[in-house]
Formats: sequence, C-alpha cells, structure tokens
Amino acid sequence: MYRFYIGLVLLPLAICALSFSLASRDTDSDFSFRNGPEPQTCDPGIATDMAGHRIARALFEGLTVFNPRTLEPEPGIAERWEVSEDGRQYTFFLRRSLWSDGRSCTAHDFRYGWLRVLSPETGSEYINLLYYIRNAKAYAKNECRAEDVGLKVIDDHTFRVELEKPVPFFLSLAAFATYFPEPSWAIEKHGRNWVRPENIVCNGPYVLKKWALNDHLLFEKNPLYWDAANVSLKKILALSVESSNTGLNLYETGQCDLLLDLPPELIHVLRDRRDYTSIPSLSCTYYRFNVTKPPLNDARVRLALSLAIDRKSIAQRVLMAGEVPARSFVPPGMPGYASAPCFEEDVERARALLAEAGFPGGNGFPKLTLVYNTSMTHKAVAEAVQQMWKERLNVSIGLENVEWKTLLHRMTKLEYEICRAAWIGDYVDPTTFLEIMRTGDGNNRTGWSNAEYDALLDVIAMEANPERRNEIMHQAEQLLIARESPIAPIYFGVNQLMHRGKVNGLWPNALGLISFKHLSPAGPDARAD
Amino acid sequence: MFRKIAHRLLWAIPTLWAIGSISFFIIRLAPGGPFERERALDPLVIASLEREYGIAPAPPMPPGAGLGARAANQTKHLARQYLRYMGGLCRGDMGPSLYYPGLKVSEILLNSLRTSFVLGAAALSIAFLFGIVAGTLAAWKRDTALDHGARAFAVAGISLPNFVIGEMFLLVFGLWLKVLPAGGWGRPACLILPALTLALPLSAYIARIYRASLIEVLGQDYIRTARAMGTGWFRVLFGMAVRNAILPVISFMGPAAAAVVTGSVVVERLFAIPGMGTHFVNGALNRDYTLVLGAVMVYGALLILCNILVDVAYTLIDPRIRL
Amino acid sequence: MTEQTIKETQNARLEKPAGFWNRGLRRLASDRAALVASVFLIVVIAACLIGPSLSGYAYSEQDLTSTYQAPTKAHLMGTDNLGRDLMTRVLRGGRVSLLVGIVGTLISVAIGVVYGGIAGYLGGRADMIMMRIVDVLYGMPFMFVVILLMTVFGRSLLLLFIALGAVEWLTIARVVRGQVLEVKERDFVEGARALGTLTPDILRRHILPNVMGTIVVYATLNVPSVMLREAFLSFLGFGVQPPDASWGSLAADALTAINPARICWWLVLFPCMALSATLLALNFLGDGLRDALDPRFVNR
Repeated sequence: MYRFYIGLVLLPLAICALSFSLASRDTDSDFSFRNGPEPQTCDPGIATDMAGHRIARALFEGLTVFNPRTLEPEPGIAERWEVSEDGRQYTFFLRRSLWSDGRSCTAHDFRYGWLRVLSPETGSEYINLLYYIRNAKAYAKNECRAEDVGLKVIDDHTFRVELEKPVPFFLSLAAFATYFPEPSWAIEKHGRNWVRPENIVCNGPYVLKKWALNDHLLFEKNPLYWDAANVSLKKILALSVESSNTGLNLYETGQCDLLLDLPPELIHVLRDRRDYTSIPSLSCTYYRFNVTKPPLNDARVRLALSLAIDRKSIAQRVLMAGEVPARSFVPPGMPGYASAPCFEEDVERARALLAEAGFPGGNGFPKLTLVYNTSMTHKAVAEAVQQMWKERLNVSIGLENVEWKTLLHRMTKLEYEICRAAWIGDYVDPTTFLEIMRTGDGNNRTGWSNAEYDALLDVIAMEANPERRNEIMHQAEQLLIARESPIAPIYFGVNQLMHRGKVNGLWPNALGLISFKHLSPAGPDARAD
Repeated sequence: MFRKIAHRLLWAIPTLWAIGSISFFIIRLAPGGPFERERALDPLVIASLEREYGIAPAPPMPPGAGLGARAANQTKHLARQYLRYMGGLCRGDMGPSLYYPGLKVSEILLNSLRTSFVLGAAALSIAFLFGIVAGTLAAWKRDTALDHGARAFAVAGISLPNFVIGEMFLLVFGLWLKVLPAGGWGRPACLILPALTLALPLSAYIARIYRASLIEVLGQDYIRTARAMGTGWFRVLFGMAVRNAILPVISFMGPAAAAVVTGSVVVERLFAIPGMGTHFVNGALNRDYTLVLGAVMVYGALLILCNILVDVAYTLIDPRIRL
Repeated sequence: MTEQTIKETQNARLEKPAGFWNRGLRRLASDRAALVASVFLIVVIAACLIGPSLSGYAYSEQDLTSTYQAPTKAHLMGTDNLGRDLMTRVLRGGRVSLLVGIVGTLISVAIGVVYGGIAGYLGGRADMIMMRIVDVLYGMPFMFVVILLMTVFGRSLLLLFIALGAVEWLTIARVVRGQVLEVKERDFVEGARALGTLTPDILRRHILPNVMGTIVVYATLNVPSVMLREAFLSFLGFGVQPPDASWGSLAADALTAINPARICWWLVLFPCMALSATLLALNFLGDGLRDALDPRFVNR
C-alpha cells in the first residue's frame, strides 16, 4: 500500500521532469513580438493573413520594397527599372543576390513564382492581383500557354513585365508578397512543405529556424542576404498568440517586446501611455445592405440608415483607439488621394428620406436583422448602432451574432439584411477599395449593381492623368456612399503599436508593415528613457 | 482479464467508426466551407483546391433533374467522399489539414497532444493529490469545521467558471506578484498556473467523490473491527480503507483524464499554450474538416483507452473484481 | 384474483413513494446548509424576476457618456463599456442563466429518463444497443457537438437550451437505466407483471416513483453544470445574444477588464458572485437532497 503513496508523490515529480525535457524551447532572441493568431502559411505566394504576410516579408524580398516610413516603393532585388512611355511595360534590372542555399536569385525565380501563383492548383487567394499582367487571366483559366504571359526573362538579371493596361501603382504591387520570387527547385522537391524550417530556401533578410504551431516562429539573420551588412538583429521571435489580452500580459511581464493590436476594452487606458502609438490604417469598417431585400432595395432607406449613424460617438466613445469616423469609403492616409467626406450626418434628412420611402416616423418599417461575427468590438458597435437607429429613426433592428464562416457564407449567398464587413487595402491606391463594389465582384456581396459606377471604374482604369483620375474617383465614391449607399461606412481603423523601446526603426505606417531589416537594438540611452 | 480487454478493444472499433461517421456528416452540414474567406477566392482556385482535398461539391445536375435525383446525386457524392476519408483512416492517414497548407493533421495533433499531455498529466496529479487529501480529512473529521471547510472548498471549486479562476491566478501570480510567467510554453514554470487552473475543479470533484465513498467504507464491518482491535486512524485511513474507497475516484478519473489530456481551450487561450483543445474549436470554426475530425477521433480513442485502463486499475486494486 | 385485489395491490404500492417523499423532505429540512441554500435560491429567483423592473434602468439602455463607472449611488454596481447599468444587467442576466440551467436540465432529464428507463426496462439486446449508442455519444467531445449544433442550426436561446440538454442527458440516461434495472427485479414489479399490468403502467406507477429520488438529485446537481457550460460557451462567444446577457457572458465579457492597466473590478465581481453563489446554493441543495432521498444514503 505504501508503494501506492510513494507513487502518488513521485508521479507529479516525474511529470515535471518529463515536461522539462519535452517542452524546453529556445526563447533566446533579440526581439520578440506578438504576430497575432497562427499564420496559415508563410509561403509568400499563398499567404493571406496579416500574420503570414509579416513573416513572408522577413523571409523574402521582391523586386521593390516599401519604405516603412513613406510607403513609397524603393529598389529591392531590382536595382533599378525602366517604364515604357505608355506605362504598360516595366523592365527590372536585378542586383546580384543569392538565395539562402547559395544559388543566385534570378529573373527566372520571379517568373516561376508569379506563374505558380497564377496556377489555380497553388490555391492563392491573391491570384487576381496578378491579373494586371498581360494574358495572366487567360493563363489562369488554362486558355493560353506560359510563354504567352507578359513575363519575359531577357537574361538572368533583366526581367520584363508587360501589363494589360497602364497600372500607375504597379511598383507598389511589386512589393507585395504575392509578387515575391520563389525557388523552383525547393518547391518541386518538397511541394507544399517547402516553407518548413528544414526545407525553406529564401532570399530575404532572415531565414526560418523554427516553427511551432500555435506557439512561435523563430527567425535568424540570413548571412547570404544581399544587404546583410545592414541587418542588425540576429534572432527574432514571432509569437503566435491568439488573444490580444494574453499578448498584453506577455508584454507587461517582459516576454514580448512589441504588440500590434491591443484589447479593445482596455484601449482607453492604454492609449495615454508613452509606449503606445497609433496611426490610421488602410482599412474601413462598414455595414453592407442587402439591396435585393425590401425595404433595402430602396436607396432612400439605405441612405437614411447611413445618415442616422453618429459615427463620431462610435469612434470616440465605443472604440476609443483613435479610429476616424468614416463618411467615405477610401481611408485617409492613402498616398496621393485626399479622402473627403461624402456627406454630413443629418438626422432630419434621414427622417425625411425614410418618410419619402413610405415609413414616416419609422412606422411600418419591418424588423431587420444586423448580422455580425463574434467579437467584442463588433458587438459593441452593433449595439450602439442599434440604439441610434431606434432613437433617431424609430427603427428597431435585431442583432445576430454568428461565427465568421457562417457570416461569410451568408454574405456570399445574400442571406442577410444588414451585415458588418471590413476591407483592408491590398495595395496603395484607392481602387483597392472602389473596385470591390463593381457589379459581380466576389467581394461586393450586397447584390448591388450600378452601370454608372462600373463605367466610372473603367474610366479610372484607363486614365493616366493623376489629377483627373482622382477627380473621377471622388465622383465614384460620392455615387457609392451618398447616392446609392449599398454600404454604410462606419469607421476607418488604426494600426496600433505598443513597444517598449527595445529596438529602433519601428515606424508606424498605414499598412502596418514592420521592416525587419531596419530594426536595430536601441542604445542604452534610449532604454533609459 | 485479457479476454475482457480484447473484447473491449474489439468494441472500440465500431464505436470509433460511429463517432467518426456522425462527426463527418454533421461538420459537412455546417454552412460555409474551408475555402470561403473574407477576400472572395477566385472560383477557379476554389474548384482546384476542392479537387485537391477531395471535398468538392456534387457535380451540377442537368436543369431538368427532379428533386429526388438531385438528392440522390448529393448523397452519392458525399458518400464517396466519406468512404475515401474512412478508407484513409483505416490506413492510419488522417489526411492533410485544409486550413494550414502543407501540414498533415496527424503531425498537428501529435505536436499539440504532446503539450496537452504534459499539462494534463501535471493537472491530474495535482488534482488527485489535493482531492484525496481533502476527501480523507473531510471523511475522517466528519461534520466538524474541517469537514465543512473541505466541502465548501470542493463546492466552490465547481461553482466558479474556470476562466475566472485562471484569470485570477494570472492576475495575482503573473501580473501583480510577477513570480510566475503570465503565459507561454517551454519552461517548467509555465506549467504551474495552467495546471492549477485545470486541477482545481477536478480536485473538487475528486474530494467530493472520495469523501462520500470513504464514509461508506468506514462504516463497514471490517473497518469497525479493525478500529475496535486498536488499529490507528492513520493506518485505517491511508491503509485499509483506501483500497475500496478509491474505486469511484478511479472511475471518475478515466473520462476526466481523456478530457484533460486532449486540452482545454479556455486554459490554452488564457495562457497562450499550443495545446490540442484549440483545434476542436478553431478547426470547427475554420471548417478544417480533416483537422477537427482527427481531433474528435483522437479524443474518442483516448476515452476508450482510459476506460480500459480504469478496468485494469480496478482489478489491480481490488483482486475480488474479475473482469 | 378479482379486480378489487388488483386495485388494492396497486394502491399499496402507490403509498410507498408518498411516505418516502415526506421522510425525505423532513430529512432535508433538518439539513441546515440545504435549507439556507433553498431560501437563498428563492430570493435569487425572486430578485431576478422582479429586480429588472425596479432598478430604474432598462437592461439595454446605453449611455455612452458614462461608460466604465465604478459603483455609485445612481449605479449600485457601476456601468459597463456602453454605460449600461450593471445591476440591471446582472439581475436580468440571472433570468437567462437560471432559465438555461433549468430548461437545459429539464430537457436532458426528459430525454435521459425516457431513454434510460426504456433501456433498463427492456433489458437484453435492446438495452445493449441503446447503451452502445450512449457510449458513442459519450465519445463525442462536448465542445465540438455544441459548436456544430450552433453553426448548423443558427443561434438562439432555444437552441442553446436544446444543445445543452442534448449533451447532458447521457449521464442521466445511464443512471436511470441502472436504477430501473435494479428496481424491476424487485417483488412488487414482478407481482404487477404477473398480474398482467400493462408495461407503460408498470413504468409509470411502479418504477418511476422509485427512481424519482435519484432523478431529482441528479437534476439538481445538473443545473449548476449546465449553467457552467453556458458560461463556458459565452467565453468562446457562443452564448446568449446581445443585448441580452447571462451571468456567464457578463463574467466572460468582463475578463478583459481585469488587467493591471486598469481593473474594473465591479464588472467581474458582481456577475461572478451572483453566478458562484447560485451554483454553491444549488450544489448544497443537491447534496442535501441526495442525503435525504438517495436510497444508498438513507440509513446513514
């Protein structure tokens, strides 16, 4: 019997010893940050989430790179480039650079990577970002051969890209992860597993050393990177932590040096701290109206609902992280485009419009439901809007919280009345927002279709003069938000940064990019601050 | 005994098969698929991915087809995918994850199970130790302050949601006193707070069960005789009575072990632990069919295994019990 | 045997449970903890029913100018992130929590008793098959089942009840089956059967009253466990829908508000106190009932 008790005491000890050996991890790093939830993949061709893109940027480099301060495209692997007169042909001159396995990085690797993205089998979410290239869409549909696609390898270090039409923002597209080069030999050998630490071949400032699912990714400086002399941090730890609260706890106890988003419920306390900065991001949160369902098929009703939202009090009293009330679709901070409000909120006008549409004083208005996906913030905003519509228009709506996939499914199938949505710009041009509302676009999801709007988009696509182009874009936005209102913008998001000053070179920017190669250890003076 | 174990193992096969089949069909009923994302995927890409992973929807029927024919087409199609999946399982292949490209379900589960196993084993040991001690004290000093105290502790342990308990531990030890890490995994110290959080409600249950069962055993003749013959309380409580009184605790521990070892999503989220519980929830939310089915099968298998172990433990503890 | 004797036999059997209940209630009344617990529960239920209309605030009434206020005279329990009165919300949340607990339990008891009763009474092969089905369902992780039920059928309070009831009935079914197996071998059931009493009547008149004590005990202990599961679902965002709330969802929402950066202690304290005090009371009541009614404990 006593053996039983000895066992009882020894068992926990044995287990602790076991955990020592099983779970020890090398957390040694110069710098660690919370990368958000586990990235789906860090394969640049198919990475979709912010977390995956952040990792891809540390491991790979494209023809151009974003300047982390100005978001201007700067030379990356391409040393310089030439653009043809009509803006449809770009010739990139590549610098001599190496992959992490010692092979040289050539124009062939870019062509391979881009064609790989264009093959539907790869499963890239961003395949349509490459449709600007001549015959790219035809190739994706298997209607032409690879040779017909406008990607020409002149020699190992000269790469010519031909476009379907002039794309004024093509150089910033070239800095996007989907446009990164890929090592054909590694992918052919390992298939989808080529991004694992033991197989990966990369050309960026860092190489992947360890990948523990739902735990962390560890990267180490890449000695073969062309600009390795200017990379100062040796080891970086990216923590995959699902909850932002847990992230904050880790930050407060020194296990993490940088947070990129914070618990929304604590933001009104945290925003006054010295280690916190925020900057408007290229994102817009809005409510979609299903225009196929009465009474939302009436533009007056949609506009009335939109006009009755007090965006300022949502931004300042509910969200409180410095979000900007959105009265247009394109966020401020889009370089080269001055975003201006399309309307002023006006409760009187909203009531008048509602009366005109046959619901004077909100009488007879059917009970609609606002659907949103599970999140404290979405819930709080929805509750506030529900209250505003009730008080100001005497319109009662129900709230329904569904999980993400269900919401997506219902949006796509148009099985909703009003729903929450958000859009984050993919590239630095207003069309990244305006294009999604085109008739039949996969992200439109409102059933709204307007020939005039589509025609304006076509004009924008062909217009080379920037001023004229901006003017037409404003016109399209006005039509979208203040006349037709298939969507009601609520607020523009912010990129947050909470940083204990361990490194220099972190610049908050609208895209939320971290340029890992620019990070350097802060001197003792900086830390004393 | 071996025959009985073999018999139960044999029964495990149809049980697991049924668990897998039910799960397979309900998860496929859930709206939205693994490739439905915020940014609408190009239909070309979706079609190609669905082909690759063998979850494509049924081929379209000619417009004139009747309702019955459509239903038959759907059923036949799903049945084919079901057979393929089950065939894979029979060969020990749980398939690729639909959410994480390039990762196999088996390796995801194996890695997270290792974490959860360490955490779960630690929690079970703590719970067992606490529970038995508290239960013994309560039964020994029945209807005294000690008993009431232990019972109140036991009831309190199951009256607070464990996310509140965990958060309190975190706040006090992790963030105020800063004596233990506030989360993460990889150092032994990281084990303490999550293991305690998991152990507290378990130990409360164990204490309750053990108290009741010990009281019953202490009332039996052989114990009374022993007491009358002058055997010390210590020997009675920790020697003679244990053998019989522990049995209900053992049967409770079986399913509890299976549940704890496959992870707890609450504790994993609070303490940023890469365990298996997360996959049950996130797998279902991401419609990662293969991952969530794999997790369900592992849980089912562990549950059966634990119940067999309970039977074995019964015979070892009490030789009168024959399997 | 005449018609008259049959009636008498049945009446004689019917008396037994009545005495059993009286004795049980007397024993319960002498258990101080259980007594206090039941009084407390009555107070809580009354407060949740009447309270929200007396507090002077609507549970969904927002005041964005007074968010996150610590308890004051105007708001005895403070306000939440949208400036709503927490006391009103706690009282109102109690309705939902108690309703979930009670309805969820009733559903699970109903399914469990019918299923377990039939399996136990039929015995043999039917019993084996029915219990195998229970084994299989036991093997399904609770979380997975509930999440899928919620995603497949959409979310509503009703569905929440059904989902929770649907996963809780297994234990009750097993317990009831065991009891029925035991009871049906007793003389008076054999007797009734020999007299040609119909099966449903045997179940209703003879077996059910005798397993009732166990069912009541398990049901009482099941309420807190259903309420805890609802809280757990709320933590994951699957609980009740806003602006409604339950104690669990209030506590889960408040968790984010306890951090060294700022501690809105009232948001956590009051819902948790309400929840755990009620669960404590239910547990004590359940323990008391078990001591009073469970045949195994009767002679102690």
